[in-house]
Amino acid sequence: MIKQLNTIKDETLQKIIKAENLSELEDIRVSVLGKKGNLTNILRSMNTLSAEERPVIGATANIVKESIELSLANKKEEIVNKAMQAKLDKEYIDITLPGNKVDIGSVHPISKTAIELVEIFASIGFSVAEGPEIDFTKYNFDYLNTPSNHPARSLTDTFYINEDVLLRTQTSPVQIRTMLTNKPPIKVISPGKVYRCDEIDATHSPLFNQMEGIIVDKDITMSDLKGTLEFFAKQLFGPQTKTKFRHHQFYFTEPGAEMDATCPKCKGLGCRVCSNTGWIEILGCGMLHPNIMEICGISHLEYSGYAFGMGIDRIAMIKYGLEDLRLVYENDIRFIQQFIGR
Amino acid sequence: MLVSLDWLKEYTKVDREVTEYIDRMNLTGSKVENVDYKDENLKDIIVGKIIKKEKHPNADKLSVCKVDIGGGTTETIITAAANIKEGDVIPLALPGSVIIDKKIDVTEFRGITSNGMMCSGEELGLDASVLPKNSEGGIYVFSEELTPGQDALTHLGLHDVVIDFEITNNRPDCQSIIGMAREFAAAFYNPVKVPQAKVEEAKNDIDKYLSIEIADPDLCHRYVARMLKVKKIEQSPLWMQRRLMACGFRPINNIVDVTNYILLEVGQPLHAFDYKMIEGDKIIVRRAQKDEKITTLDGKERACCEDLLLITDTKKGVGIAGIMGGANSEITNDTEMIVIESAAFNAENIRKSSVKMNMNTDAAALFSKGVNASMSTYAATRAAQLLIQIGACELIEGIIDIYPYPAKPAKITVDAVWVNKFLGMEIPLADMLLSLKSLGIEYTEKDGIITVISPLFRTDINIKEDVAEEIARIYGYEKMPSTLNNASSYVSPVNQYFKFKTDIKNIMASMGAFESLTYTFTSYENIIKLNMGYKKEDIVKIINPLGDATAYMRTSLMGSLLEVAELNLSRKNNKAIFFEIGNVFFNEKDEEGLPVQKEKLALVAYGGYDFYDIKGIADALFKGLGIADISYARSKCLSVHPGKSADVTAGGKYLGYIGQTHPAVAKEFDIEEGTYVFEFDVKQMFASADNTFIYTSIPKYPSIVRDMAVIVEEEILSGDVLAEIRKNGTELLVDAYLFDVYTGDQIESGYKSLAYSLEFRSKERTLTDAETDNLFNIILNVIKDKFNARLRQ
Repeated sequence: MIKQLNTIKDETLQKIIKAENLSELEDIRVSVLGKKGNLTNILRSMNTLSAEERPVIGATANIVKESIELSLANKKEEIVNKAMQAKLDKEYIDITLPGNKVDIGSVHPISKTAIELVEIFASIGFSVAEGPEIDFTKYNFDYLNTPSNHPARSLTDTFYINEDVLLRTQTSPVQIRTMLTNKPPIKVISPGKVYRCDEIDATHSPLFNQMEGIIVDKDITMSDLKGTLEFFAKQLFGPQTKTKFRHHQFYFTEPGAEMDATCPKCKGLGCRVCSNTGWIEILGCGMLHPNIMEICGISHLEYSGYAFGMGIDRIAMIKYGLEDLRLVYENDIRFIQQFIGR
Repeated sequence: MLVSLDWLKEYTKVDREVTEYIDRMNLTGSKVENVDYKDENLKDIIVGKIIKKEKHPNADKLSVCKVDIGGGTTETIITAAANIKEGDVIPLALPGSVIIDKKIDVTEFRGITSNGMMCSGEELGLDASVLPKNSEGGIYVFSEELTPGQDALTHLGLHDVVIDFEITNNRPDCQSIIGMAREFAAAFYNPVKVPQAKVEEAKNDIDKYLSIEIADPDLCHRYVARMLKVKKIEQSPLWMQRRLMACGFRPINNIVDVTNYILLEVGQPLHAFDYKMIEGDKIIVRRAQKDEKITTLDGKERACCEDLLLITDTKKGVGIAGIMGGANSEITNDTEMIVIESAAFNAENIRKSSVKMNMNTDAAALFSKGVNASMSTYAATRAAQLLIQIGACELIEGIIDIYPYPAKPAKITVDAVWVNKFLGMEIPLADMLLSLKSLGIEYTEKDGIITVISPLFRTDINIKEDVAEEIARIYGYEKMPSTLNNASSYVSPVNQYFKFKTDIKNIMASMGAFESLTYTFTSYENIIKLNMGYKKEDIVKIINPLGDATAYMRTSLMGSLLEVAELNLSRKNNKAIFFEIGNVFFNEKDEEGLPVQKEKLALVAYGGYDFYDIKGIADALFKGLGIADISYARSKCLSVHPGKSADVTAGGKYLGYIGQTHPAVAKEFDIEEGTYVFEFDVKQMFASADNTFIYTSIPKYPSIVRDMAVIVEEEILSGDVLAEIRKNGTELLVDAYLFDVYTGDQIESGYKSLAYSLEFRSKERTLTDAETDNLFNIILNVIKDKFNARLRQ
């Protein structure tokens, strides 16, 4: 009987090896392990055996059964895998065909730059303040300590609606409005459109975008101004950027300064963008003039502050290597498209 | 301000590399705009003297010259220039030398060899506008006898370096070589030597000839006069000419040149009158009378504007104060005595007058910036001194000085501790004092309290912050530490409205739209073309626009965006969606009294989009921004197609319009008819956006979906039907939307089939088919009644 069992095992394992598909394999399983299968028959006749024979034969029968079952399972997996592989071999597409079109547009490079500037200053606690583009002459000039004979006030420099109302020439009136309506601490930036009487050319435009910032609090120092703007320049143009803090005069600041950054194009070596100096002027700034604080009802003895301002258009031109401002306001889609994802 | 380093040497030490000056002056606040190395492209130009000049035998227009080149040698030089004669001393370029961009060689002209070239001023890099008249358009002829063979560039001042500085408006004192010398000296802690203005005089003879009255002291702060007898009017000496040329002035004659020299050296514009033309021996400075006319030096008769300040005698105007002299009192070759005027006028009045009179002279530019009254006598005496020194004049002793309200120096007390606290620096007291001293600022100091006497030549030092600035800029901004608001940890709250606008831009871009950036000004015609019904009195007008096309402020973004479409179409960019956020403006006043300004979001889509494409964009945008309860009703806007447009509301609040541009508008803007637009009010969108969202739990019980297809007349709006379905759906109807519109074979003409999907669900239990059917039928019956609808079988 042992011999018979071993024969079944050997023959069955041979058949399994030769099996080519799942139905052959199933036939084999049924012929051996099915209700009328030869191994099943043997197991069923076990009860006719003697008490001595039964454990021995039983053990052998179980080993045979397990080995056949294992072999069947392995073969099944092999056949399934083979079939899957054959199927995959036949299935392929041209993966270089274009994807189905999902449109993506872009914000304008000036917006992009403005948003970036806002994010940089937001990271050190500044938030945005906005104000009207048509504003009072007093907020644009008088409250900003601008002398009454200053050329910027003239009809050749500034667009007027009437003597008291004009198209703002800077976003500084927003700072005045903020100081008039808020008590320190004040910490705002004001991006927005500004206007000056310039015909459009490669570097001028009657409308352009500016961003100014202001802080008023106790014990603000000029070194805070310098540090803040250095932080900004490095965030904007990269950590290797060097800056130069120069004296300059503005009527709304005292002392005043301008800041240059190493030219982001040539990294300070000198190129056409920076007129071979390696440096690019990026902003004007200074400590808030005490007259302005007093006009706005803030004691300059109790508080100090600083202000800074920059042309967003100019920053964008430097950042993106733009050579002609006319492109910015012309809105040819072939220009704006280039800023997708930039 | 052009500063000649050669000239500067007269007043302070100039012995460093030019680049060092550029860096340091930039840091201390004198911004360098340009550096002109005069001899950059010049080499080996010598002085030559023309011994003989003959006509070229083979060429009518050429001359053959024998030129003495020094050392007893002569060379043959051929020239086409007509302005030279025998005896003239000229700059000469021999073979091997270099003039601007050109190396000189031996050249043959029609059989005769020229061993070099005589040079024009322009060939040596001098601008035609600064050349003496006799040298313009020909060879430069020296006004003095020079030894042949010497370096000609030295005599022309062409080894000089001229730096152009931007001078800020608060520093009129720097509009002069002496002022800049003070800055150079301070920047390098060098002493400065201002020339003494001195003439030998004992008597007041001038009073015998002249008296002066300032009738309008509000417009004339000081008037100083000196008088001189003319000895000879001739060319000024070469040293003076080359300084004038270096700083952009054309040498004219000795008297004019001295006035210009003082203008440059001291920053004080002077004027010289012919004494014999001054009637009544008196100068009166007064406002022009109504209808008064004056003929100026340039020969033009001009009608005087209001508040124009005139220099007059007892009978007539002899000059426009601070702007231009009069023709009647001009210096001529017959002039025997001159009056030198050195005055200080009201800067604002000069600025306004020069604009009104349309006269932009050098003097007006300087007076507009503010000429310091404390310099008037110095300048007048210095001019007299130079006129005597160069042999042009003899002095008439004495000076007249009318100075109604003399300036007093400001006295400022500042604590050194405060200076350091304010700047965030640790400048030693000694260095603070050194900075002040090097600037020529007088001070006293006790226990760290500095008392500054602001010099009269500086009008910009008035408060303690000014003193801190002077200290800091000379000590060096580069030594200032960099700190990040050490004393302030304040963080300002986020501006949610600005963030909202950024969100709009990002969402619009993610849907394939491109943001444009257009001008806010427009023309009256463009506003009318849009047909929005605005009248002239509704629109904000600029009183001094660049032109008619930019004279008005836009009332809608639609015009701006249609122009963007028009430009792109004209460049064959055939399909696009643009959007923009920007202000529109109305004459109506806001609560402050300013023109009303509203921020709008607008879109234009052209090149094959339809109404539903842009409505889809609008709906997605509203959804993305949390703006709910949107409805569309037929638009009242006249700029859009009446049948293919809608007014959009959120929660009943008007946001704006959406639709196809009106064919008439499309035609006016030269764009295709199938151009679609929307324009929404951003502030209203922001107000309608719900940002108080709290999540709802995922439903526990299943929903039942029923479709309802009804046949209605074609004019019925599907949105009205949907609204009615929702209205009657009770809280069990959780969603309802249109999923199909059908007209065609199985539907009689004039009707359409609308198919809606209705989803029912209860929060508390599983709905039964029976109760769902019941509710469905209630809704259906309402629809049938209200819209004369029938169920599609």
